[in-house]
Order: sequence, then C-alpha cells, then structure tokens
Amino acid sequence: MLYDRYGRLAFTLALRVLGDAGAAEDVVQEAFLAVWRRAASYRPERGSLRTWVCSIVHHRAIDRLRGRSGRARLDLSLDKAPPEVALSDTWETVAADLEREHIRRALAELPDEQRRTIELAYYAGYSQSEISSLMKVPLGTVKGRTRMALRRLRSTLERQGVEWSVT
Amino acid sequence: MTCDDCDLLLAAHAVGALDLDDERRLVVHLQGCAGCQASAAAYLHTADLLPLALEPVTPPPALRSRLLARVHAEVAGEERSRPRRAPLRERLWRTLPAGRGLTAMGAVAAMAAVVLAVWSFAIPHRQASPPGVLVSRACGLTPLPSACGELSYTPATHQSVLTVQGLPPLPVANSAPLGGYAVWLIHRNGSPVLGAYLEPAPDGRTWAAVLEGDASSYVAVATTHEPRIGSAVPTGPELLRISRPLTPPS
Repeated sequence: MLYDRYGRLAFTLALRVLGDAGAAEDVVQEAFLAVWRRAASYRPERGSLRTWVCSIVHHRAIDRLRGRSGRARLDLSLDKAPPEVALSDTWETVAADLEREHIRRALAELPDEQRRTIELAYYAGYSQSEISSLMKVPLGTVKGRTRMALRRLRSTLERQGVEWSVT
Repeated sequence: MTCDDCDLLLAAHAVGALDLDDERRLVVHLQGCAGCQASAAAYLHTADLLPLALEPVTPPPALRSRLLARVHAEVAGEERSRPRRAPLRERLWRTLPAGRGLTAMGAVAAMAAVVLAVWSFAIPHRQASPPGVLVSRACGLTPLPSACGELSYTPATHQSVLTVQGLPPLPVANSAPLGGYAVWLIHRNGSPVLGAYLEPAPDGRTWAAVLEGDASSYVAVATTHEPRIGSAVPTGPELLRISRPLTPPS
C-alpha cells in the first residue's frame, strides 16, 4: 500500500507545515484519498510517486493553512516540458542515496536570509507577500532570494553527486 | 510577463509561496513557453527534496485504519451506485402476464423466498467475494432495522472491513457531529472491546471501518452510537451485530 511507503514522510511534512497533529492527520488522509482517486492521472515521466504524494500533501497543507480548502489549486501545465524519464530514475536514486544530513548540509550552506526564506515558504507555508512583511524586505527581494536559494541548493546537491537530467 | 519574471515566480511556486494573482499570471505564461516549463520542472524537483530534510515523525496507527476505511467506504458507495442487472427473481416476475395475482401457491412460494432471503442475509456465509475473503452480513436490530452491514475478513492480511448502510447521519451539536459510530469486537465471553469508529463515505450513506487483527479473537462485531469518542465501553443501544465470518472448511 502506498501509504505504508510514504505515510510517514507525508505526515512529517504535513505536521511541519501545520504544526498540529490532528490537522496533519486530516490533510494526510485527504491527500492519500486524492492520490487514490487520481491514480489514473499519475504520470511517471513527470517524477516519482514520492514526489507526487509529497506535492499533494504540501499543497493541501498550505491550502488548509490559508483557509482555501474549497478552492481547486491551479495546476501548472508542464506538457511542453521535456520528458523526465531519466530524472524519474535518478529521483528514486536520490531518494535512496541522499541522507537527511546531505540535504540539511546543503540547506546549511545557503546564506541565512535565503535559507530563512525557503524555510518560511516551504516548511511554514507563508506566501511571498507574508514573508516580505515578516522579514521586512521588498517583495522583489523575497522573490530573488527564493530563486537564488533553490539554484544554490540544486548546485550544492549536484556537487554532492546528484545529477539531474533537466537542463 | 517576460521569461525572467516567470522564472522568479516559478521558484516561489515550487516552494508553495506564490500569491494567487501571480499564480494566474504564471499559468498564462507557461501555456505558451516550453523553456519556462522546463525551468518549472527543475525548480519543482529541487523543492521536492525539502521534506527529506525533516526529522521523521510516525503518524498514529489509527490514521492508516481511517484511511483504509474511507477507501473501502468509497468503493462500497461506488459499487452501490453502479446500475445493476435486476436479480433473476425480479426478472422472472416481470415476465409474468399483466394482471397477475398471487395464487395460494404463489403466496407460499413468495413467503418461502422472503424467509430464505432473510436467512441467507443474516447468517455468516460466503457469497460473491474475492478468493480468500470471508464475508458475513446482517441487518439492524430493533432500534435501527434499516441498518445493514457486511463484514469481510481477509485471513492473509488479518484485516476485517465492516461496511454499513442505512445509518442516519450523526447528530450535530454546535455545528459539529456529536460522537461517532463505534465498532465493538465481541469476545467469546461477551465482553466488548473497542475496535474502530465507522467513517462515512462522501455520499453520507455508506460507513466503513477497518479492523486489524485475527478475526478468530472475537465472535461478532457490534455497532453503537457513542456520544463521546473514546469511551472504553458501549453506552448507546446496540444498532447492528454481525457474526464473524466462518473459517472455510479445509
């Protein structure tokens, strides 16, 4: 069962974003039900099942946090993006090989303001404008820091031996 | 929007920080830009590593059971809403000439059919279930005769699934459901042990619960409405009781 494989990771993520075990359980349950209902729409060439599950959990947790559970999130259409068959395989390897400490180290290598921006966004569910207010910096700065943080993160992970097929 | 503007928004989208207005602008741009779609995938796959950095927290075991119960309830609901071919008895009845009346012989046959139907529904039996799955069914007791349930047991996984139809919606207090439908495992000496709570399917008419463990440890399951979640003993009247499925002859 998919839940046995990814339930712990999903709950960990939902709990981190929501900070409430009951709410995290609700989100995980609804996310796995959504996965089950939409199983036919899963496209392996776009990424691993783990990525798919985490993405749904994260979206739902953030929607709940922002009180927009009734709104269908706009899905980005990536139909013209290059197929990522190789990435999918690599991704499974990444998931298996990259220890938690590797990713933490990569995060730790980010400049403080970039790491904080990513943490507020991904782990705490703040929007860009909210982060702008929290950190007392212009919105454009938040956007720039987010982009730089992800680029550096990727670059650091690649230095650690992770290879992406996307160029 | 330029591709550079889009690139900034893609990074924010990957970490879930995009504001709604920006999200709409982003979608419009992406529809016609293959280059930005490739960038989007790259950002998303980088951000998707972030959950792995967290210290894992094990979810409560009940979450798995609740999830399974919801899935089973939905499956049961779908099966029920699917158009079905009329039973043989009904089709035969329709073939009789118009103006038919019950003859004495027909009345006896009809009575026998009703008795047979009740008997076959109330006792444990195996019927049209997947191989290796034991099933028993029963309908409600005096307080709620409309409730009918099915208990499926899979010995290979030691997992039982109870699906029930005909239960009324839970009473509401302060805009929230009051309590829940508890499933009790009735042991040989008659003592009840809380097994699970029934979860509703989206249609609100089918309820289900997953019961973990060897079914031979109990002789029946019973359902009550408990105004307070967590009660260690049944406090409400018993609404439904189903004997556990019999072990098939070896």
